[in-house]
Amino acid sequence: MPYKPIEVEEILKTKLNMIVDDADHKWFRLELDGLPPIRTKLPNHREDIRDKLESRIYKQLRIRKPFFHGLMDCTKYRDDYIKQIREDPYPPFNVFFV
Amino acid sequence: MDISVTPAFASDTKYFLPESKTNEQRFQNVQLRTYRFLDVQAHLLGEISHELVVVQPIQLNVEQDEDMSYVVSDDIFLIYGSGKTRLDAMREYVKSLIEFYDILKDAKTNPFDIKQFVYLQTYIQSKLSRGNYAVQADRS
Repeated sequence: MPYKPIEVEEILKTKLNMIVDDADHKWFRLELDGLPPIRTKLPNHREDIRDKLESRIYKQLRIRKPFFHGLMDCTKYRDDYIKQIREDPYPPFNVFFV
Repeated sequence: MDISVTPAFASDTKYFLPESKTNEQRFQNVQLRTYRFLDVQAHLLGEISHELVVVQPIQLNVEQDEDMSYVVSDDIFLIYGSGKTRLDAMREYVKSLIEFYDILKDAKTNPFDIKQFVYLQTYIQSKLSRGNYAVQADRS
């Protein structure tokens, strides 16, 4: 069952406590000590988020698909996410901080 | 106005007018130069707004979702844009890239943001700062 942008937004704000960086453009930010800020942007439309689009969102969150679905389906929580990001971010941060 | 399909490895200059309620003036007459290498990849190079220019090609993934919409993305900065057509998705990608540039430009306290902005500037530069560098180079 595809998720809708508003459902993802709700998870980002309430579960992960992400801050809205730019309300007009749906950028969200999470800062954790010692790690680069995690930023993601959600689409402006209200339609279902399909696979390719979803994959870009969970990549921005530095997690894999099963973990993202765990967050969405309430089997994973903020502490799990923080642990995951600290131990096994995917894609890893160092790839993009040459 | 079609951003798609230029012969493999050939260069072409395309023009489009990204829609933006807040930055209409800024996005007008935007020029993009694309280099198409594979069916699912393109490179972004050249002016992306009146203020910003891509100085090093950014490789883009162009994918189609199950609902036939398009997603354009990169694997360097993890920016994406989506839309019903390839052109719409490209417009959204460019808008997101510019937003990302502006966010990092204004994020002056986090050392990671500063580092990433420096790295981003190896790909995207402000025309103004490029002009200043040119002036400085002339003076030296």
